[in-house]
Amino acid sequence: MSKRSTGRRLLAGLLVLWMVGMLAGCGAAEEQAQEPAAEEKPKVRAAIIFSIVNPARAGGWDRADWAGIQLLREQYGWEVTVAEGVPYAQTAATAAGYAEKGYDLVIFPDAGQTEAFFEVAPKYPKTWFVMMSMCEKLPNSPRVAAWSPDLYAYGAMVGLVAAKATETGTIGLIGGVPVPALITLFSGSIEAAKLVRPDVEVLTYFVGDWVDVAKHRELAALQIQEGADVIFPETGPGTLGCYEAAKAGGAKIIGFAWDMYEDAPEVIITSVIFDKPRMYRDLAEQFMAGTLEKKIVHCGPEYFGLADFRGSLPEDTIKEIKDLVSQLQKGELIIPVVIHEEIVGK
Amino acid sequence: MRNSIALKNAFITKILRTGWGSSATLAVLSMIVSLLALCLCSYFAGASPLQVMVALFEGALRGRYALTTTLSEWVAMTLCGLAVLIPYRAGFFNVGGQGQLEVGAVAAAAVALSLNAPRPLVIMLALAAAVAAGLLAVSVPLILRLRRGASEVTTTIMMNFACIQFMYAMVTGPLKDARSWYGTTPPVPQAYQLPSFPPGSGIPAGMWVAALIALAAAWLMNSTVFGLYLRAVGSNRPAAVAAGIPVNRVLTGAVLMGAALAGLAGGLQLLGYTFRVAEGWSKSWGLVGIPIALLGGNPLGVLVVGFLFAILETGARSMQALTGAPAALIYLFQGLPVIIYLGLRASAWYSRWSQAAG
Amino acid sequence: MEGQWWAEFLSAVLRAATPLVFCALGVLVCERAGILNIGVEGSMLLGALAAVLAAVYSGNPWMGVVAALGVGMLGGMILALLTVYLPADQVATGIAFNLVCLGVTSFVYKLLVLGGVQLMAPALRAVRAPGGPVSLLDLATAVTPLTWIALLLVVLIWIFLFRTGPGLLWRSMGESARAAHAAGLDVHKVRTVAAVVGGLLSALGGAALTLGWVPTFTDNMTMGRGFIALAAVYFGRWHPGLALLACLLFGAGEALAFRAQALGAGLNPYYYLMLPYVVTLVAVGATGRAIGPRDAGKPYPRG
Repeated sequence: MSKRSTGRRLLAGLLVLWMVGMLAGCGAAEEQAQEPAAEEKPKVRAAIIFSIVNPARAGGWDRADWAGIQLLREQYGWEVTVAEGVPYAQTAATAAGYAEKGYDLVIFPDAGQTEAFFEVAPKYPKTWFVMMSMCEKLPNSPRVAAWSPDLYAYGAMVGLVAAKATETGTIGLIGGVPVPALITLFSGSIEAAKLVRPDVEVLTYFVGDWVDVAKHRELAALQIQEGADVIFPETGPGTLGCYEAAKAGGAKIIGFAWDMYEDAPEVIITSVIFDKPRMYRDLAEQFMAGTLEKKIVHCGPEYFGLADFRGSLPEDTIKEIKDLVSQLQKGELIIPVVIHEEIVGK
Repeated sequence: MRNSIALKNAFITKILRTGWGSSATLAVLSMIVSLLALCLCSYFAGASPLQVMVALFEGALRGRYALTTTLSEWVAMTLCGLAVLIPYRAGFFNVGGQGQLEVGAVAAAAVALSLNAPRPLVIMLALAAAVAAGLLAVSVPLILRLRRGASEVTTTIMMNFACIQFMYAMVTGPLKDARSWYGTTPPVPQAYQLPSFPPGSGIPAGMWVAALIALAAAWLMNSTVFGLYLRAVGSNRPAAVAAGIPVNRVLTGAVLMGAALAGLAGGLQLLGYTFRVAEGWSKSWGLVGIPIALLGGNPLGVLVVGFLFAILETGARSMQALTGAPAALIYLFQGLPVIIYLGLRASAWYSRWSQAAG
Repeated sequence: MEGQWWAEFLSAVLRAATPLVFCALGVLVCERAGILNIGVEGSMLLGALAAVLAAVYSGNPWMGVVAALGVGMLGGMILALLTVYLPADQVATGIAFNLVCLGVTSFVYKLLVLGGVQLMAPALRAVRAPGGPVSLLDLATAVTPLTWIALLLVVLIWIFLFRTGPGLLWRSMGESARAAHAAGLDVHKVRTVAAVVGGLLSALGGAALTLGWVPTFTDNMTMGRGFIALAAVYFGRWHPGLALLACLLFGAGEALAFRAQALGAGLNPYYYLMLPYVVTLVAVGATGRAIGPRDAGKPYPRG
């Protein structure tokens, strides 16, 4: 009995210590917060919540967001706090934590965070919540906005590049998880590729997760084995495995969302870029001017673009691709919208 | 002078007798040492240790959102801890808590999304489905253990992989939300979500369920014949057989109980916390259940250690979000105290053993 | 065409199996001496990170292998200290060790890549030039040297354990530590050596995963492969040859799961991805009662 009570007393003592520590800490934090307020105009404080770790070197999507954040920091002088590796279940609590700390904006870069967006935004009407991903409906709050890219159009642009770049006539699409976003994107790629090259064969395989580099490599190797010479991976950190397979098997890669040339100079033809910095610039300009309002900005092909080819293809092929892309952007090239629900395979 | 030394020695002996050997003290001590290690690591990562500690506990305990999240985490951590602890007592190491939890949640989602009936009925049925799924997930390792003598450590891990793949198959297939962009089930309708109790307090109803189950488990393990059998089977199987204890039945009962709790945890988390099963919807609750069970040592200990781990989980996320210290420290923190604890206990056991021997 | 399909398939199986074989041997060597090596996943992660870092900074992939051996030895020593000398519960220590290794590797990697640079290490490449093997005969040159080392180690460890005197003593340690002690063996010394060798081989598995397969590191990149190696040892009845077979079976399951996507249009890929695990479970169920070293997992008190 005495053993137990000693343990409990110690536990109680520890808890008390923690609480004292907490109180002391709160005091210190408040003092710190008061000092800079006296100097000049307070900086805009924004927070962004990533579901993956190390966004600066993750797959393309988050890297494009990272570029956007750098823009906010450097050009607009915003103070941006980054949360990373936040599970979807914890997103709401993290966002609420920022709102309670008095942040001006909380940015969600990931459609998987929609649930948290809808849960938290109505509870903190003073804070701006911004979704930088696919979004069809806004939560019930005055300060919410979204920049929602048209994934089908993005996929179509990828399809144009791939169909023109392939020599064997077989292109490979590699997805992490067969989620609706990817089904839509890949459907766009398939339709656009068929439009410009009717005899093209498209292989669509899914790895099963976003992260296992070894599995990514095997799947890309399989596509190369089946004749694909141009591969477009739309997945997460596992993408590195696809590059490795392309290096070993002599295939080419179209980078996803951001210029991925640095990662694998030997195999990247070009990248189809999400101009996320432009979305962040829109956001910053409107916020600074006080014109940011509750709305969804639908980002079509004008928000997408091609990275430098760096001579990876013959000059005339590059020109053909660029022409097609600008036609798509001007609305002269219309890709029929067909969603391939059962997309896996050939 | 000699007196004081003698006094001191007596004092140390007393501490050694009462404090050192007690598992609770060891658990607390290893947690403190790990916290210090956390401070050191955050210092290396360029964050101020003080700020990190403050953010950690503030993030877990300050504000309604933080508290609700911590309590919700506690539900899963307690139940998953028990899901490891009870079979462990009978000599079955259930590493498959995560898989049981995932399929439990999938089953609960399938029920809650397809039925149209009064709230209590749907919630009951969904939780029952979660329990059933948990049992189903453990049945393969259990049968392989009983019939083939296959080590459950590997078979439950295999089941974890298979169950997680199954969960992904469901959220991108039959149960998927066609209007969502990522792989997820539709949200559980508001009418079938678990309310907070007392109403409006934000305290998840699951917390009361988990606490009651922990109390019941404590009673079961300490004051019933089954608990006695359990300990006999786990500590010395041949002796238990010789004493005429139905060894396999006790083992089966303990394992099924554990898996049922892990499945239930999945159901409760779905209905009361996440409302969707999706890619990355859960945390590694099932896995963290292992350190919790080992540090806790008994059902009430699991309840306490589960709460500490819930604080650390929620707090560490907020610490990362606010100070920029790497999130990887969380894993470090889930393993380190267990190693220190096991080491300390083993050495305490060893010193006592050698004292008794010499 | 057929021949090429098989050649590609087999080389995929070998690629997937190589890291598993190293880890399985690491587990096997330990368990034959009477200690469980649940920490194999953690050691593998340590080896994977160390191999990538050393290869990047030295520019030579073989330095990566050496570094992996170094950290593997260190990890093995820590595990030996905990499970042989104290001795703490081996399963629990192993699982906690895995968590710690996950934390340490992710943390160290994060500290080192704060600048945002992608770490692509020089890889150990297959002898053959890119393009993939065209026939079964080319298979031998289509895999990395590490695969050959793994296969060689299987043979060497089999010879050591089952055809030499010290091997017999080693195995007796796993069957009955008491008897081995009575025969004049220092149980703790031998088991420490076993733990260190186990850590070494597991870390080599990590190096095979990175340098031999995808020469980079991501958080938790082993993705449970250590546990699969563990299962391979049980399924392979603690015999190096059978364990190798089990690893190949699992690799084949994984390779088939991907190839099935190419055939079965429409069906959710996750049903195929479950394949390797289900195959392993069925194999465990179908092969009858497997009895391992009797003393594995039981600590031997000092004194």
